[in-house]
Amino acid sequence: MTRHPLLLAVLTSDTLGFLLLLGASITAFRITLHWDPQDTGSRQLRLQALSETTAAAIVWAFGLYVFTTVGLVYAITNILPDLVPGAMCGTGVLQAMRSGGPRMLIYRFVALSLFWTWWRLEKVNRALPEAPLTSFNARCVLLLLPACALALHASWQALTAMEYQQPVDCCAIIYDQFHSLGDARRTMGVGNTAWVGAFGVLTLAMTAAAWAVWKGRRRRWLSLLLTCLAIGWLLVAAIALVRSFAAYHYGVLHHYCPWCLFLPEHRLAGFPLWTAWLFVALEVPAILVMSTRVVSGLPAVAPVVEGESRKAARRVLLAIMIFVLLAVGPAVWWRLQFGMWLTG
Amino acid sequence: MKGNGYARMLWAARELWVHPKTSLGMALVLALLTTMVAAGLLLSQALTATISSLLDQGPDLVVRRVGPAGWQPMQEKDAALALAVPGIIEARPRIWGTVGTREKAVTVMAADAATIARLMAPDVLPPLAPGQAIAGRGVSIEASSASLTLQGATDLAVHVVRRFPSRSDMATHEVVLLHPGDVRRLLGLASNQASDLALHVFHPEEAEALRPDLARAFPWPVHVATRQETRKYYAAAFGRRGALGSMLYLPAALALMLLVAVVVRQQIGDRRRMGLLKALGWTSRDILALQMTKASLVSLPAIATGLAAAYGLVYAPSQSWIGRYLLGWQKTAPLLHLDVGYAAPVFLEVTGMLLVPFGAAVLWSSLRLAAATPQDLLDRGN
Amino acid sequence: MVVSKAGGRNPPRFIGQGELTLATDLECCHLTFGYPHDGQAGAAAYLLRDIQAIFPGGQITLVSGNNGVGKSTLLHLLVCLLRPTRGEVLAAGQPVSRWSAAHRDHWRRRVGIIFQQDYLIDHLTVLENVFLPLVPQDGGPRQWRARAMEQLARLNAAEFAGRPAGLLSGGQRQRVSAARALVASPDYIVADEPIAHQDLEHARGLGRQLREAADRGAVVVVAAHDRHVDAWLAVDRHLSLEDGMLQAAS
Repeated sequence: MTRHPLLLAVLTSDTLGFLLLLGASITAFRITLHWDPQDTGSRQLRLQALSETTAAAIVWAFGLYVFTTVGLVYAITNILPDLVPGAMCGTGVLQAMRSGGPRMLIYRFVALSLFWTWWRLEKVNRALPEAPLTSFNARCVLLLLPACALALHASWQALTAMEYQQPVDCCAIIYDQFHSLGDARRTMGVGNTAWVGAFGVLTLAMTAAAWAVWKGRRRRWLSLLLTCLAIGWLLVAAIALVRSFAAYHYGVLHHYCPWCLFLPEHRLAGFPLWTAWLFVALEVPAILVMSTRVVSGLPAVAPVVEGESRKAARRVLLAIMIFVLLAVGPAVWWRLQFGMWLTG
Repeated sequence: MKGNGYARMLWAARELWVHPKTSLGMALVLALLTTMVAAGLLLSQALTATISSLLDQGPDLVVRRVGPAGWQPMQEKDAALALAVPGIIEARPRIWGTVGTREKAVTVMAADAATIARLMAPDVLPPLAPGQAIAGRGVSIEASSASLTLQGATDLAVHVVRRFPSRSDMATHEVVLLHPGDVRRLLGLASNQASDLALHVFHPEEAEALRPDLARAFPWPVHVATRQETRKYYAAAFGRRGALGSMLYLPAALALMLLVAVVVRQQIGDRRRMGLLKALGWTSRDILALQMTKASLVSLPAIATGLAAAYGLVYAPSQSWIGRYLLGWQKTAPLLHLDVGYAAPVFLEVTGMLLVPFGAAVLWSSLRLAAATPQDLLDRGN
Repeated sequence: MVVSKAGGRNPPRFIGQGELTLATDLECCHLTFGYPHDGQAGAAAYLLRDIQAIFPGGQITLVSGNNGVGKSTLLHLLVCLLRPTRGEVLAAGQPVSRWSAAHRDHWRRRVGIIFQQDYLIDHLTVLENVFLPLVPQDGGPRQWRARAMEQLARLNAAEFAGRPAGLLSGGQRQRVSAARALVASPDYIVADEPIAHQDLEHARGLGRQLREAADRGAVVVVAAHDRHVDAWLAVDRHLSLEDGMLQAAS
């Protein structure tokens, strides 16, 4: 039932943002075909002017996209559970959406990532008087359009397919994951303690790599290293959060639900936690793209890219710190309060 | 625009003042649309919050015996069967039902001293003798004799000794409190029978999990309703009604966007003027920022005004239109419960349904003109 | 005969990382321009051909020539209102004519243009027209008004500061247009027939303002076909535009 006002608001804003992007893509297509900085004709002059307003339109579309994604997550975690029979958190709501829910979230993440990368590149482009990356960025926009179209389509599908009559069973999804206590202590065959250890190691490695990109002399291989570490860190951090650290938010063992963190009962911790995680997931690909020869190979671009990469690395460091503080902090606090860790 | 935000706002206000009537007209349209949409949304949320707070006062579970013909009475001693289920800490037989009066159906409830103490302070409601009643404000009684004739399994005339306090109207509007013997006679219940059982559990979160245990505890079929299930039923019902109203907003929002687009295109001037600004050192970003600031100056106060008006329409104590048109109440204004947690999403919804389309229309109509170049000034001249 | 100077190309500073500050000197390198609708091929189609010239800061340069020879076009090219067909314009060594539109528009905050037509916005007051270039920059309404009033006073136009621009005479409009060009204390000033509707007294007032600007280091280029320019303007250099070529005037 898409007629819930919040979902209607989300889908309206999503659609408007997509229409803005669609209009911008038409100009991006023309830029891809006709852009020639040496050309002094009226078409090039018009394209130059349009490229600016197009960039403004895409920035607004990006802003709308962020707004609707936050609204959607808020709806899934705090509004829709009250309407879906048996749902206690986002897990139940996604179950009511059937397979459309996870697909919607994946497509949205891909679109968000492309938006973010485009935005970073466009900042670099606009900082330079001759805007040398205009043509490259236009191609990025053409890549962004189908991703957003898929995300919008998946959102409509998931929300219209949501079942409000059939009860869902949140607990069955969470607790049916394992058949014994031994299973509960392992994830993908590896003990949860090992995942926590891996999280610690990768966090230190990420911190060192991000610090090196921020403070040290710029090397392309550092960006590559940071990207490889980030891929591992993102996976391990998510598993460690859900399987180990979340227990200290819930005060209960073996409740492996990522969505309950978004509930008011747990101080909405899910929002800053997963936002910090998302920040890392968005910034690192942008750093990688900026370090490629296509972008940083242009002499005029290199100094600006270096500056932007440093700032991005600093933001990655900040995001990691926030994540660690919010994930590990409650565990440390528990230990200080009760003198023991939560182990099952 | 690199100037401070305050300066930009002042200049935007100056530009709006060039066409004051149009700007005010747009703000008025937006405010009215916001009032319409937000009133519907707030009402839906208010009813949900009110029902939810009422349900919070009630039992965690209700067990009813059902049979081929539907509801069947239970024995009062069947409460012991429910108490035997681990997690149930109280099982209270209730005697209540629906009977007719000359005008409409009302809900009758048995009120012994314990029930009255549970419902309200004993000094507010006196204990009832047979033939006496306490009636809600929606129940019509004979003005001269304060009598009420109830039609159930038998007809019964009672004397209404008091009305429920007005602040309890949401729960008691069409309720009649009677002596237990009178209710049994009206409902055709024997002296040891009850309508259902009201149960309280140790952990309210466990209520859902206890349903199968309760079903097994009784030797005949029962229907077990939880508070959460009832809350969701009402939330979905009110949500559907509110959503139907929201669908009406779609053509109105579209009309608003078209109106805004036309007005902005008229106000922004032509490419020549944009070309002049570019020649004077304005960038496309400055022009768009100015347009969006103007849009904010029009839309934000309009939406705030609309929200305030909607709030007044829904929550002001003197508002009786809700009772009259939605609940069929002739005079009383229902006191709706304001819950920030329920009302906060309304702001998100109004933002997404109205502010975003408004802003998008302004942006869309400004983009092409913001792409003007100084050559447009030179080509088109004065 | 003016000769071009091979300008050094400093790496541009980044817009948004601080105000772009440029020392002056405008330079034309092989500047060629032809309107798209004028002919389709050949040198005869070009209005301006291979112009090599430096307009130094601190000097007032007069560009004279017959009607339609391209004086206005040259000025518009100098301040990047038009883009050259070939060649480029350098401002303190920066190839401003090759910059993106946003950077050119931003650079134009350092430019004051007195157009041949006044291009005032009729529904705004005189004061608002004058401080319009200041609005996207730093500062607030108080500073805008103060600077605009000061500039109007210098050009004897303060008395109609509060009047809507649509109610002014031609000469008054031209003075307001001049005030608008000078309000931001620009580093580059181009004036296209700036005294066409002015009496001698007001023309001298404008001439004094242009002289002051040049004395503080600005590049001032004035296009006029008036033979009696000396009566109102102290010119440092006189160039003549003829057959698309720029040369020192005899």
